[in-house]
Amino acid sequence: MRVAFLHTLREAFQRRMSLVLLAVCLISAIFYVIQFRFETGPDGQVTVPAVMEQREVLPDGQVVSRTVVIQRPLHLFMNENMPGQLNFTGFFWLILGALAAVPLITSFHETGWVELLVSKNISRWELLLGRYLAAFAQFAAALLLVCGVPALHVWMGTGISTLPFLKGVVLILFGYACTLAFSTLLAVLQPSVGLVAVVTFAQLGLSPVLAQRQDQFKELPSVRVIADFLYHVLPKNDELRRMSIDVFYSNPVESWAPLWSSAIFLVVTLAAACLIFQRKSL
Amino acid sequence: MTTPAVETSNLVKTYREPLKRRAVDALRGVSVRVERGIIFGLLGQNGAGKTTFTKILLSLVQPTSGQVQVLGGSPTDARIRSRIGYLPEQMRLPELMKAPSLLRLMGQYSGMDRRALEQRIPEVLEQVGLAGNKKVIQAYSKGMRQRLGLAQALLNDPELLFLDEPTEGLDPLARKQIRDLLLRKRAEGKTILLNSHILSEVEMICDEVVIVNEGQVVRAGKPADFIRATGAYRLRVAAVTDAVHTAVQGVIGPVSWEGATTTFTPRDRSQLNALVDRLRAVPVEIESLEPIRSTLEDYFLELVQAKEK
Repeated sequence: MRVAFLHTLREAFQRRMSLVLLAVCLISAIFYVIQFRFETGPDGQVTVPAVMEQREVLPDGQVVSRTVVIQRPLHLFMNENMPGQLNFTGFFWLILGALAAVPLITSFHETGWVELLVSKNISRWELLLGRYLAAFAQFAAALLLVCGVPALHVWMGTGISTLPFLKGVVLILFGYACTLAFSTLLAVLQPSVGLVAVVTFAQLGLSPVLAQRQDQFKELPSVRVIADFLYHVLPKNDELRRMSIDVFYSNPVESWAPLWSSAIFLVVTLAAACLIFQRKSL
Repeated sequence: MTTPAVETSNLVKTYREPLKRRAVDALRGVSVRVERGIIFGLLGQNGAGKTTFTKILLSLVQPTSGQVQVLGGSPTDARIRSRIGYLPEQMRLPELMKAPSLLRLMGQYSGMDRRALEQRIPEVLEQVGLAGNKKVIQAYSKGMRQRLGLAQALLNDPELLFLDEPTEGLDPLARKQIRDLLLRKRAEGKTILLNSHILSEVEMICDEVVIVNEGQVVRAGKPADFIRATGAYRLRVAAVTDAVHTAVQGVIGPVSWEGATTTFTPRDRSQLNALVDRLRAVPVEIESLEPIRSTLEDYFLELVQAKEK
């Protein structure tokens, strides 16, 4: 499995989409560190300079806007910025991560290459799981840059623990692992990059809709039945994202069901993918 | 007594297409025994079942029923697969890699020891004529890709080689080099299962051949068994004059000429000798007189055409 894992990681560094993901994450991390600097005032209070637009009404009635730098108290910054980061990670980075992972988990199924790999001294399940883990590691590395670096920056600048934030990131990463398992199964069934990408994005896009299915399909009972089914079967990325914010605020989590049901999905889907691939005629 | 390299018994493979509710019989009871240390040719038309047969031997495809033994074990066993080399017909390689990197990767997948692998890579590149090549695979010609495919199949010094069209896309000189390489491997005691459309090549290097048609073995034997005298002769003379016509017609009967050449089937050796005497008496110079033998290709074409009829 180690060979398949390392080979996939090397392949990732040759793929444009993977490089774009890592580059964008790196730039975002650098931008974050440059943008948010922590200053300690004479009263010992830590503030974060924030650039804001201020509107002023002149005596003649004319409205002018000016850019000013204000000192935002740290607690305000923490309560606004970090959950915002989690929300962004749970949607934008998740989609970008899936976009970079799909070619990695589908490409090796190409006729003429997969036969060559499978004919070697490696089990099919090892090959599949090695690919899966490498695609997961790629996204984990991206999140380490885009979330880990800011968390480290905040902790070093303020001394406040960013562990709750990182716990939230882990929950989102877990949701990604579930989505990736889904893509892996799809790639075994139909190894087409386009098809796997579309279905993966559909699953990610449907996640918030399914989470609110009771309101969304109040007057469509037949659609609601389908939505209920899909909700119970598919991973719950949107609820995991919201759960990550609850974890950050140390709010009590309403239900852990999205977590364990997604975990069951992950295990069952990966097992099914391995089993089908093991028996597949190549 | 050593176990055979490959032994199959009543191998059946039926592909089911669930959407079309149709079943396709790719193999219908194939029983084959390949002894060790020989080059074994697998012949058949496209869709005859050769590739399915090879893929079952590599455990790329599961048989519907029947028994398979490769190197005395099951091809699903990774330890058995580590003693096998495979060159697929349609091969796709990572375009941005160079030959040594690809071979390193393939060696790692084969579970080869790092030191042995580093020693082996230049050796196999030398064997297939790609030593010192610095290009990425993207820039390779079809022939170079084929050589590289062969190199990866030879990398783990396999006891058993499955080669699907190994000389496809190669020029005559390269074909000869590959043929010589395969003969050297046989001399080293390796077993080679060769799937080729180039029948003259199969005839040249294979020790045994099976012809597969519609999922069944229709003929098996040594290439020499397929090459037999037809009883016909080909005669070529210096010039075809009326006297020559009369002489030949007088002994053999009416024949048709293509330029200065004709083919005929004499009743017996004395009739053949009588013809030579008559021609020498004309006089006309006999350029050649040779018996016509059927080749493997003739046999194969006859078989296929008979099936089509």
